[in-house]
Amino acid sequence: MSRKRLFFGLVFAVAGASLLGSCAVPGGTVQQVTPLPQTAAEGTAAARSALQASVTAQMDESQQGDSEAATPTPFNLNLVEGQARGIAAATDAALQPTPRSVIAFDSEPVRIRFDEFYDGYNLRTGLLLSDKLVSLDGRQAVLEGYMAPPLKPELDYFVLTRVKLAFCPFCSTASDWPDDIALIYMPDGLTTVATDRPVRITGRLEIGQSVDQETGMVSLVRLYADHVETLG
Amino acid sequence: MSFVRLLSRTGVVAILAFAMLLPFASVSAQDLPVLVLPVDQAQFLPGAVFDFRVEVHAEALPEDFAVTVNGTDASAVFGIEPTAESWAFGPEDAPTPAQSWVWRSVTAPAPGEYVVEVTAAGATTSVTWVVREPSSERVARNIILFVADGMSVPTITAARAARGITQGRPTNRLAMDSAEFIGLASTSSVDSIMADSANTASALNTGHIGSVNATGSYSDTSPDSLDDPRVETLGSLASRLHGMSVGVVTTADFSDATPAAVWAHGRNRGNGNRNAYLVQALESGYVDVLMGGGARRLIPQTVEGSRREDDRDLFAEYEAAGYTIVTSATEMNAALAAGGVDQMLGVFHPNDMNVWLDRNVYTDNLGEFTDQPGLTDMTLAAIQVLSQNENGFYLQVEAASVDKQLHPLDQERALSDLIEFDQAIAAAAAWAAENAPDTLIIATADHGHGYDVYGTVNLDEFNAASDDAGRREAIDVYNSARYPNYPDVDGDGFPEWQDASRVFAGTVNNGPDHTEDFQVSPVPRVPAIDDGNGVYVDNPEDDPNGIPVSGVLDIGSSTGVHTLQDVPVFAWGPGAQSVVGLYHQSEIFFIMASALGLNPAAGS
Repeated sequence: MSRKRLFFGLVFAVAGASLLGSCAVPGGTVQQVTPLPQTAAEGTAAARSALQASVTAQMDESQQGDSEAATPTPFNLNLVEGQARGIAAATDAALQPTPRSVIAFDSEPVRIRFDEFYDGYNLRTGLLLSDKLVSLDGRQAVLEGYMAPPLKPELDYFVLTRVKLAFCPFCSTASDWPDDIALIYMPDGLTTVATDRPVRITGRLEIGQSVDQETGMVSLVRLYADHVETLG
Repeated sequence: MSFVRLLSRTGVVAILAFAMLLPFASVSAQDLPVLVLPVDQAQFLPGAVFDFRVEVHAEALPEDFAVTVNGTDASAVFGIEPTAESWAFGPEDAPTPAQSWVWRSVTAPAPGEYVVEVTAAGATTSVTWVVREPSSERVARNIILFVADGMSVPTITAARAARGITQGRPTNRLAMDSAEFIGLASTSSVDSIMADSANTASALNTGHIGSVNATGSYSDTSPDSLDDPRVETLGSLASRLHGMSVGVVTTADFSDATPAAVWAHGRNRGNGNRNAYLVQALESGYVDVLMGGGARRLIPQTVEGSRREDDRDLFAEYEAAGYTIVTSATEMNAALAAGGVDQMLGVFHPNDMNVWLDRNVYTDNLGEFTDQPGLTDMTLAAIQVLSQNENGFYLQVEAASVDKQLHPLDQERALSDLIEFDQAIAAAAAWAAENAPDTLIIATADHGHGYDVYGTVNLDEFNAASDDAGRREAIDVYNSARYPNYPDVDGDGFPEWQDASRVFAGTVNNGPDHTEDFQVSPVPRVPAIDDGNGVYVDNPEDDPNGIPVSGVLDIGSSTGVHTLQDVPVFAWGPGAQSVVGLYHQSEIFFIMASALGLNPAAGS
């Protein structure tokens, strides 16, 4: 496996909402969102640098000819049950973005859709997180989507996607993993059962880059599920 | 300009001492695998800078290891000592050890044959390089190289016919049809009969035939995909010998293989190297204009939406280096109108730019990036900046999405971008006629795709049919095909594909399992999807009314692939006559170098 495939296999939430025409955020106004606190940004950078070093050490082989290689997925990660949840909870606290203006919600859980995650893409500064998404940090939320095919039959976490992964036209290349995804941690003691029907997740939403130096797992949006419901 | 380090040709000493320090080991007399880079039959301009690497695949170098050039010790010939390196490659459970000597930034200054002989364990490996006679006369001040990625003769024929044809005669011919001289170029690679956009564009820009995925270098076996022996680019030569400006325009992410070949050096066009290429462009010191997509590789990894793997903010670095940065057509035009632009970085999309059909017809597919310039706009903008240099310029313009849309078998998007490519050529030719007749314009493809037209389809009949037999009955061939009726009511040269009732029966000769309805798709095509197990199956949402076409690729392939055919070469202006003939596409480098009178051994 090449370095790039592993790396992108681990990045759960990154760029290119615009890649999917139908996934694009409506409205064209580009707005500046308050950046990560400096210390947080540095922490992220340090974690990523460490990740790079470890990935490089593992992967410096057979890079040739793999541009047409098999589809990489974020499921190359072999975490034991419970490990991912612990990692995410331990690393995300320092990496919280702040909204421009906090939105107060009358009641929880708050329903949020994937297409409400971002306010757009500034070509010089990247994706702009929406106030709604950032304001929901730590709040109870409801999110619907599709369960990406799991790595193993039973896991306590999975990736939720806006569209069925198999129908995602740009998911087939390493560098084009979509933005419209969230990492879902199952309620304690429960594991996932794969389904190709849409699912509705209710739980505590956490926003902000979570980077684990050991596994390199990076996520931007996580839901600690209380309920997982299969729809339709 | 770190790569271009000209050498003193006098330092012919102390090599034996170096050799004696090496840890020689006892190796039994047997044929050891030896890799010599540049490869046999490599061709050079005299004085062009390159790296020379010899690999022996053994635990240690044999005692008799020696490298000579025309019978003289290689280090004496090149005037520097090699660097000894060692690594293992291949599968982890059965690695192959490699010992290497590499001489960096050397030159072969005299025309003629250079016979490299490597002695290892009693066997001799012989490789011959050819240093060509340089041109002594510069006939072109500027060169514009147009590359339509994946274009082939059938795509050109189809685009011409779609614009109108009656009584067998085209009614709205292409600019390419007016070429003063036409040639044919073959495209195969060092390691494969097939080619990709990295080593083909590299051949155009360096004159060297490399391996698939490699740019500006010969692929070695070392773990580092950026340390492979380099060869010098036309842009580097034009800049250092003539003080010319260099520009790159593409509709792709500009770190993509074709644009990057103008300046980049690396073995693997994948993500890591692409991020490195963007730094190389800055550090090369000779790329003055860069336009295309790819913003996500310029912003630091700490920013959401980045694809970098480091914390560099390349927008800021390019800006600090003096580039005027623009991110929309409006900004580009305003910057040019304001004047004072010597270097320009235009980045108009996070990823590849959108295709003509989506920018102009199916605009819902643009998302928020509704202000992207077209290829003609970018070409003229680049010329405006580059032509300020009286020493001339070299500009490579790529229509990237002829290829990027033929991969997913999207006939109308590919042909529209080919027409846009053709209009960019026309605009450049008009500029040259008006302002700089000493401009050589060459238009070619880097490789082909298996697209062709074999008749027409009566869409009313096709869409009314209740089964595949009925749909196939609507496909008309030979005299039944008559003519397609693509209109061009607005007269812009682009057919209104969506308004035709008799269309091309046009297909690509390889691909995954899919369905084909021959009609323009309102969204970019995705003919096959992953079934969840890495097997690509027909996408039920793509051409649902189409006839089934069986895949002829492995089941893990999601799209079609490049094909073997020779590609056309069109040329106008001084030096254009040299494109006549049939040759490997690497010859186009020498045609351009000759037109510029580049003789690196003689200096500027």
